[in-house]
Amino acid sequence: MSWINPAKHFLHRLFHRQQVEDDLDEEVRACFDILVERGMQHGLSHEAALRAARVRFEGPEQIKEKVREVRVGAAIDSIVQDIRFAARVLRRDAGFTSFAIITIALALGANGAIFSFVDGVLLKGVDYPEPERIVQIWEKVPRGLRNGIAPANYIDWTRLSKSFEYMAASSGATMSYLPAESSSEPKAVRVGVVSAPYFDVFGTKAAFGRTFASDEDQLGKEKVAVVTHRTWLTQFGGDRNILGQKIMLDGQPYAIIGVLPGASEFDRRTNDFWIPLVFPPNAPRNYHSFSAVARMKRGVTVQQAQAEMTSIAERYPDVKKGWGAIVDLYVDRLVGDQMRLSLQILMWAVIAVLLIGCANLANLLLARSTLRSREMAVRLAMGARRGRIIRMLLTESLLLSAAGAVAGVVLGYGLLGWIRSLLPPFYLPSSANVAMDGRVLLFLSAATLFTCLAMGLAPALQVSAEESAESLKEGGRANTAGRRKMIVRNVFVGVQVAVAFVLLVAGGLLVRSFQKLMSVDIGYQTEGLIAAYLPLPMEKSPEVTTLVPYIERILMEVRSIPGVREAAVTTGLPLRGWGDGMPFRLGDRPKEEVGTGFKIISPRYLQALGLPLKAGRYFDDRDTAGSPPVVVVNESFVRRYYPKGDAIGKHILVEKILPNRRGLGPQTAWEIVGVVVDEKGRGVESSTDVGAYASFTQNPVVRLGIVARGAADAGSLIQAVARAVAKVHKSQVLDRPRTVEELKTEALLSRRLTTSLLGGLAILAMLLACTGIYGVLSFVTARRTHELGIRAVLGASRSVLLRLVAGNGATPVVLGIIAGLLGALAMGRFIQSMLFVIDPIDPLTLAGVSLIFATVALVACVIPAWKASRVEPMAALRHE
Amino acid sequence: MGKSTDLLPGTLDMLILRILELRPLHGVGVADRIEQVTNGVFVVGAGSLFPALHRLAEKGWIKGEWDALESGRRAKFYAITSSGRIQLAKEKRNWQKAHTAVNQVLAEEA
Repeated sequence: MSWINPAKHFLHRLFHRQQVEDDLDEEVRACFDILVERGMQHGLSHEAALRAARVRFEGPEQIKEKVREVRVGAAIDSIVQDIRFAARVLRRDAGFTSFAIITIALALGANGAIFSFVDGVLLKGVDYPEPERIVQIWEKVPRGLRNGIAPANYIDWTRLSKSFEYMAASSGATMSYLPAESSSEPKAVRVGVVSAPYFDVFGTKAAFGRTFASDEDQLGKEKVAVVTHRTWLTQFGGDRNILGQKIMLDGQPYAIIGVLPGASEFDRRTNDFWIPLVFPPNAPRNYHSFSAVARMKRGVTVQQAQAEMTSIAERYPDVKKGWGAIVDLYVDRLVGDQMRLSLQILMWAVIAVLLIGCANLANLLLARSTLRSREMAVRLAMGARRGRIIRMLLTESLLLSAAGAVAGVVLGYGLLGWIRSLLPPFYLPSSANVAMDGRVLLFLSAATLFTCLAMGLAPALQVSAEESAESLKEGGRANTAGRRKMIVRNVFVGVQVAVAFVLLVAGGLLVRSFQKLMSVDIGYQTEGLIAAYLPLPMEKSPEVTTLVPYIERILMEVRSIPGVREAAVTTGLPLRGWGDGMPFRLGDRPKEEVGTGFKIISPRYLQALGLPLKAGRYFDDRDTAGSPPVVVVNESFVRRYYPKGDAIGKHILVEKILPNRRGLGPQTAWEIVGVVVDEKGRGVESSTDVGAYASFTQNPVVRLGIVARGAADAGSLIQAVARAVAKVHKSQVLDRPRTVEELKTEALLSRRLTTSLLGGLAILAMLLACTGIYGVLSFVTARRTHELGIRAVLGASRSVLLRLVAGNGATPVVLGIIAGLLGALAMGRFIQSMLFVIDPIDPLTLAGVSLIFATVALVACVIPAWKASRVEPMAALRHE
Repeated sequence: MGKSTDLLPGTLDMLILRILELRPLHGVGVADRIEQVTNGVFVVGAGSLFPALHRLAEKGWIKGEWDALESGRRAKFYAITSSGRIQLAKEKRNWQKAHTAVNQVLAEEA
């Protein structure tokens, strides 16, 4: 066995390193001595014999090294040795090492954490098979855009279209949920109500059990439910025997047939349960309340599908004049335009921070390489081969990046956990899935590693044979090559400062926009105001005769809570949209179809919010079910349709909404009796918000929310309201109750996130850039200690030295800030659409950022300069 | 001392084994013998010799033992092992084969 002997030797060396080394040393030395003795026997003097032996014999250290290299496992051995040595070098240079590790950790960890946040909250990765075949289909409003789908149209689409493998309609509902055998309190759950092929559209199979069979959206077979993985874990404790269990949804029994896979997008959506969608036989064509998704057949493009859908939609010229259909790639609809821009900005910011980090690192390593050129020259002269030196530096760089990467990953996870724990529970959208992204960490690690290697090897590549002699002679001090490097370093600093400055301006602009948004007047006081959805037991088939008294009792119970001043129901919660968007005609221009938000409210809603009346009157007791229909409109409505301000007393023609809110009733002329201020129904950022209010008394409908204003603190008010509504019906619950203040926060959520993330990145960038300034300057100063000592001896005062050093550092910073200003001006247009009533070239922001930056950079310049100016002249001269 | 020539690759191991077959020697002794028997054609520097000795020892073909010289100085003496003898026989055969073949080529050219 030819490997036994080598293996024995290898193991022996592994455990008796010192003994083996001593042995080798003695052997080589003995032979050298023999040669010397032999020379002296030939009559040479001791010196001459020594010299002759040295000529004959190579250097003992070189020989030993060569012997080590032929040993089995020499590679492993020397790697271990290299690592030990590198660790020693890095430990000795603690200042440099900690700077480098901090830089890597920030560029890698903090960056990675922030990116993962972006990814988890905003990007929402889609993990369906062949997502490019999944589309969302909408109806198209005449002269308008995407709209919900009327059931009859959807049924026609499924019958007539040929582009799709599967098509499915969907809607959502809040239902009261009870486990079958239980007398516990009912809970509000979100239920997705979908056509049978819905999961086939997404290509999602049940984790166990099954999804809907193709005929389970027919009447009589629809009492089956699919459970999300999340719900399976939280509600059913992950019980495998869940299949076949009965549950009660809105008082109806459903059998559970399957559980969806975990870690899928379904877990991040709001729905807890999924049940089949059954259309009634006489499905309406004029009430657009459904969405539809479809999976295109292989080879069909979105354009082809769009063309086919348009031709189908145009077949109803009489009922649906001007209506069409829009086909969108599903993935595209997940991320809105505004969101996409935020993402782009954040991505660029992440890249910019990485760039700054790498420049910083490169600078540190470059500075060090100058210091080490002498060391390298000595090593070369002592007989080290270039390959060996490269390997040594490589090991050092690898060790450094590994340490930085470990610190970065720890920092990243810590930061992510910290940010998450800092956020209030309702802060993140339910679809968020914030977890450290391994691929991103890998990418960032690769980038920093590359920088480390590229810059770490510089000293080995620079030191050529001739130069090494030069370096030895000059003692490695300033020469022309040094000057060139100094320029490179200053360019690096300047670029860092410029990039960080642009980021900081972007962050500053977003922060200012956000401040403006927070102080936007939403038209009413939010204090003491709560809102919740109110899923009714009679949601499916409401009768006016039961619905109206039911709501009256609910409102009565809520109003009787001590401290509650007002309560009302509404089809659209504050800041949560208008409930319905309705096409309508102005009474004096009946040919022209226009649109408005249309909210049905119980009469005191406007008072509950405290929306000030601008003209006419609120709803009151005169408005009964039998009296002439009236509406209150808002100021945006008046501005758009009655620019002369003469709205009161005019009529608008709007179809009544059926009580089940699944279709439209007869067209009705409504008289405008009042004008109130806008309530920002389309969100805080909307500048115009055309809307009209109709009274629940005159047009009772289901799918309502409730608002209540009380004096007590909002948390206890929510509980009191929940208890009050449960008195009316045992399965009556509140769904997603919030204070309106919380709704406002939620409405600004994605903007707040973008702002704080970009702000975080900007501060990170500034810190890194200042670390860079500080690092380079303190290095340069350290090298000039000798020179500064001489200056001090020759009588330079401390302030002169201070100015000398700081001035040196300030030049690239000032140039960087100027470049950054120009960059910020150029960036303005890119970021403009992200801003809220702020000009992208906002003097206040620019000045503020310049000031902050200049201050921090000044500190970074002055600290090393101050240290240098305190140099003891004699100590400095003795330095070396 | 005549002009020294570079060793053919692979021949150093064989030479060392052959020399140690006769009697154990220390490093300098091995170098001396190589120079001596080749009439100064081959001079082996310490930088090649010591790695070669250690390589052979590692393969188990030779074995190093510390011993005292006549002068009383300690030195490491290398001796051939039984597996070293087998290896040497193998290398001799290979060398003969190669030598014959090369000579034939040269003869034909002449």
